[in-house]
Amino acid sequence: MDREALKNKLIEVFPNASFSENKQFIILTTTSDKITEVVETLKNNIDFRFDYMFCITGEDWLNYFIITYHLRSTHLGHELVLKAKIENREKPEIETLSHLYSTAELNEREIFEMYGIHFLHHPDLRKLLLPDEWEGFPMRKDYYDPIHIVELE
Amino acid sequence: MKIEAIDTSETKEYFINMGPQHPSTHGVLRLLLTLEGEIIKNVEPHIGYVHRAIEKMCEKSSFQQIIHLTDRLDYLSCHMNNEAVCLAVEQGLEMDVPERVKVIRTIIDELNRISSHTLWWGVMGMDMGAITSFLYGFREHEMITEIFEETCGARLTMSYNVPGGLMFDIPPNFQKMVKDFLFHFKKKLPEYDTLLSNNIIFTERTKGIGYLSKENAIAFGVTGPSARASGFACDVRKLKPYSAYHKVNFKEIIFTEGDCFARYKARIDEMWESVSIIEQLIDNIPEGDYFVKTKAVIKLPVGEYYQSVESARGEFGVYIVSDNKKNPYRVKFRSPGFANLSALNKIAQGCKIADLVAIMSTLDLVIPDIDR
Repeated sequence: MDREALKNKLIEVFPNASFSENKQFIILTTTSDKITEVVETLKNNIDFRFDYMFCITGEDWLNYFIITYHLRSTHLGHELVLKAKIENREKPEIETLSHLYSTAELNEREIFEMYGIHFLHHPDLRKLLLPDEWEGFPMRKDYYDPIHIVELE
Repeated sequence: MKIEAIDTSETKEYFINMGPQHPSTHGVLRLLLTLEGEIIKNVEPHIGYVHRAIEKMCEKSSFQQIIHLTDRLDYLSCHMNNEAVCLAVEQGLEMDVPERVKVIRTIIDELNRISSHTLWWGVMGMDMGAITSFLYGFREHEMITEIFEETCGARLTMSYNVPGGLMFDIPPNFQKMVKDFLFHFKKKLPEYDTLLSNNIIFTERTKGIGYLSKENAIAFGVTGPSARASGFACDVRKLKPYSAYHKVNFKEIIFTEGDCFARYKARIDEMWESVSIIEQLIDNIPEGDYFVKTKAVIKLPVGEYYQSVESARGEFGVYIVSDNKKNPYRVKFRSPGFANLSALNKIAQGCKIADLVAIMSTLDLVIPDIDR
């Protein structure tokens, strides 16, 4: 599906979501509580068929978190960036997508240890890269570690 | 003293550690295997032994510095990794690099791919118990490394790309060196088939072993030759051509068997394609500048930039979020090894421990790429 057609179809299916665009991708932003619903539609709707999730990124924007999912349809060839906004910084939570995309399982574990975002109903939410006794969430912008991080400026 | 009789009729699952210091894990990867007898029930990878927080370091680094960090991810496809960052930055600056740069980058990409695959081939043979292939593979790997050394001074972590072009121009004898290598390599590549591909011991250990279905390859995000052996057409060079790939003719190697031998064969055939790509370009390097001058401090406009390239292991992606400062706000590396490793459990279930060695070999894992 070409870009315009995809965009029109997306607006038709998700009338309440917010859209933006850059040169490469159409960006669909949703709230964290709707994520499973949105992704299920994106995966199963015959016009979208986003079956391949190739990148999952956590981002810390100080007041809120964003999880960015890059999706591609191997059948139809189109791509989409899906962003889930997590407002609650004190207790960040979002539903897991590991039952829809197997690749999400390890990536979500990484985001969990780096940002402290809890993935609800994740089959095995443990630390992945860091040592088990590590404290704090190193990829957060307010993470302070005088021993391991040497400021250059 | 009373000795308790052991009931031998009962079988129990037990755990065994493979690695982190195991020769066939090619680095510090620890696998916790659940076994029943010799059959693998579950593989749980424990990673992070060489985690260097590269993504965190990128947030404090300028865009030129990031390039040198990407070498340390997948060190065997360092040039492709560098290129991904450069393309993302160039995309943000809306900069068009000269044709000469594009062609040279493509040639070195393919040389890098051959060098990675020859090393993989040697190590794969050694994992299967054949020392000879290790020596043969390194012979060709070494020849390419020498070309790199002559071109940019570094043998492994090259950092030859800079945003806007290349760090140096190619040396005057570059074309001759590459042609000499190709002449040599085309004679030697059939030997690879004689040594391993047609070797009965080798084929018995790889054919029908470690099956990965196309659906699983897509679900786990497996890319590169490992996924193409399962029939998943995921070559970034074909899907989203970058540099000079739109100019050359080459085949995307696809197999449908999905076993270890198909993954092996996909890489061997890919080397032939790489040879063909280099041959199409080596005599047609356009004249011109080898870089476009950029500002000393690069600031990308506010926004996000994703660039993927086809590294020797699969789709390597760089995702940069910029807030118009000299450092990126967030950098994420979509490393192919990480996704390929996640499928290991699925592939290895029901296989034997000796097969696991073959499976890991054909997935071609590079641990620093996984740990980042």
